[in-house]
Amino acid sequence: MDKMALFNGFLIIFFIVLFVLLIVMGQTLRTSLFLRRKLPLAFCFIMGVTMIFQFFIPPENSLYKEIEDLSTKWIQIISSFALVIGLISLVTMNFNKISRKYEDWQYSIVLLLGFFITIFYGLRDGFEGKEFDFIFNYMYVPMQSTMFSILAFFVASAAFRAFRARSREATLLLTAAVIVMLGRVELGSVIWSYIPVVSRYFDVSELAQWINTVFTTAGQRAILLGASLGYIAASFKILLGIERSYFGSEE
Amino acid sequence: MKALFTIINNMDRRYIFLAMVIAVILPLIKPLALPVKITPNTQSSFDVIDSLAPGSKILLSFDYDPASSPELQPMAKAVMTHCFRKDVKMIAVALWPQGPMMAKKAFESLSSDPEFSGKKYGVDFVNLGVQPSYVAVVKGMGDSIAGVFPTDFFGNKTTDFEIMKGVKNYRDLAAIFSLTTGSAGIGTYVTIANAQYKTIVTGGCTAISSLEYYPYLQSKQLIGLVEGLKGASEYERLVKKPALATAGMDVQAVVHMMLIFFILLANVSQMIVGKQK
Amino acid sequence: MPLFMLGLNFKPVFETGGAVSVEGIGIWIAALLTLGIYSFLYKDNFVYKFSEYLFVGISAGYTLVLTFHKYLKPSLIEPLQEYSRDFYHIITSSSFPVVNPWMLDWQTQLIANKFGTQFQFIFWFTFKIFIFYLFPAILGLMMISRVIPSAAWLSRFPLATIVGYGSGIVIVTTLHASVLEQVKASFVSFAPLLHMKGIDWGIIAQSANDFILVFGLCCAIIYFYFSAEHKGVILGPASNFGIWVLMITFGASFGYTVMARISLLIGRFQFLLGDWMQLVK
Repeated sequence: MDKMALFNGFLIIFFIVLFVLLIVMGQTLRTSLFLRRKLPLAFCFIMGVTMIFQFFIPPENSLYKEIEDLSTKWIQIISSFALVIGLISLVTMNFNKISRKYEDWQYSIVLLLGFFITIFYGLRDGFEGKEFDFIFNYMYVPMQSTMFSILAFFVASAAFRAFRARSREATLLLTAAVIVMLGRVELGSVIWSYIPVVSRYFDVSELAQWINTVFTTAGQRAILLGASLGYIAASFKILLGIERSYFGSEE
Repeated sequence: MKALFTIINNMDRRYIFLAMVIAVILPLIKPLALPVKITPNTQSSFDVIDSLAPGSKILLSFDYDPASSPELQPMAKAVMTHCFRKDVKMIAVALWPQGPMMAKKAFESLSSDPEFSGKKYGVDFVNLGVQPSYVAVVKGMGDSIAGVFPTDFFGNKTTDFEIMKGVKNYRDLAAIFSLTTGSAGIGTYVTIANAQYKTIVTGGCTAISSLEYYPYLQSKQLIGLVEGLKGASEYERLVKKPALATAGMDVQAVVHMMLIFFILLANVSQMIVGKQK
Repeated sequence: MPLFMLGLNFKPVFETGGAVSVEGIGIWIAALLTLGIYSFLYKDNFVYKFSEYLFVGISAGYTLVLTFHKYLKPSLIEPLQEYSRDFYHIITSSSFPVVNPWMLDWQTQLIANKFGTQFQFIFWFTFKIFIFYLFPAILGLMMISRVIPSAAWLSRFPLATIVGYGSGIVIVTTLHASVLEQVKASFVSFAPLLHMKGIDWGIIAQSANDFILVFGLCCAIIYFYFSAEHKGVILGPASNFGIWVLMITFGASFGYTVMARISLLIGRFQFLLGDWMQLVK
């Protein structure tokens, strides 16, 4: 047990030293164009080509397993670190806000309190802790679902204000929306049954289903095909180093 | 007449908000008990689970957060009820950070039900939690599930669970059921797990994203889809255990009627006021 | 409705014995936060702002707890601990059992003199640890260097790795599942129509639907095709019909959006009226 603690301490110091070394290296070598541009692009290219190549190896092959194992581990570890940046900037931003007494700085205290209390109980007990469960179930869940449910009110007001049959296309859009809204609730069928003639042949829920399986499928598939081809083209541009906006604003 | 419609046209939106609140509260207090009709998509999703042999294992993916829980939590419970009754074992994973907590809540509420008192964590259900970068997760599970999720959500070793015996990757699973909101979920499983490993993918999603998956339904890459609260209420009916979704559909019906009335009213008033101008 | 107002029966904070009920307090807090956020509908106010900031704080806290317990611990810290412990046991030839299957394999090979010298073993061990754990960890640390502007360019390496990985996967999977399979599914068969005995309305309807689907799809794609002007006998009407198909699609999407949003609202009111006010069972 003692040895484990010693090892953990060593690990922490090791990573801190590594980080400091990296920063020093980053500052001294920042003028090198090879390191700044060419090498990252090479990383991107090699990684992408390997992943494409992997699809053409049978899954039973050991090379397939090696690539799969290694790439998944890499991406998982790197992505975990990526999450930390957001947290660092959130905390420093709010500390700044409090120390400089910007507008609404009092609320930043609430934010930081929420943050530190959650991580205190979370890091201490993991996901089984009673306090962590309490925070999640009675604070996180109601707040998040309420924030999203507010959108229902705005959708209603938008339906009232903006949903007007001004042109043929707008009428089509409106009609489709109304039929789908009627067809997806049972009360719609009840009201539909009062409409003479047509109600004898089909129900509004069937009509809505028909619109979805025929027209919406066609429309969504056209969008899907367009978006997918665009996605693939963009991926090729990234792999070949033509598109490098992810590098940041300097270039 | 024109004056009245001008007032309606310029109505403060808070009156609409108020009308919404009333339309939600009344049917909740006095339920209409409308019948639930089963749509083909829910039925085929139900059939996928229903056709599984007892003891087979599925991947149940919780790809949502509390924001979508009113739609997807009742669905998750209905599907889990179905699986428990059929003795289908569930390996729960998540592509959304909050997913494992939703899985935990669903399992806790079901295991407190006397009907499922015999169901054990680690034998009938396991919550493997979440890992970052959902594409890497879905891709990686094609090689090894325990490799992507070395521990379960609570830090126990994945390979130690009885349910994981004989489960290496997608090939050892009977189906994948994804409860989806947003981009990570059914789409990812269809494009990777189904396309590359030919695993049967089915699922449920929020109403907002369900139409996105219709092309996959027509091409049979996705078998069945439980759509939104309506789908959840249908699934509750299919497992004969009406709960929150069924109660919610009454409210949904009333609010839909009110909104349709609002849309018609707005269009009529637009026509009248617009014409006289 | 004064009648049910009088019958209000809120979730009690105290249990029958007088002890504080955790669930009761939780439900009260949740209800007050819910109402606080809804107060935004009237107008922006401090209760709403309070809840909003608290939510961001808790949410960030949740992410950190998750990152540590669920991401970094099982995929980086614990493997490093396990490997190092096993390495130590093997090197010192101690009697402690080696846990990691990989290391166990190496140990048996080492004992059977199949691995080579101890130096070779140390070399391969270091290589494996470096490739599998240290290298991605270094890339991860490079990502964090983003917070220091003069060294921020280091984050290009991890970003390039992630983006390259994603692009490589996207190219193949999307091409396969969302382009080729989708195109394949659009080649519907009208053969049943030819082999139909007598008039079968089911087959006719199915074929008609399939036809509209494929025709609508082609027209919608023509509408998205911007390399030629949408004029003439074919492109003009086709792109027009394409617009109609897309309008119906967007209309249906709007209907579904409304439905989804209302469902969320229902969920909240089920909580307020059910769990908190105990009006609904």
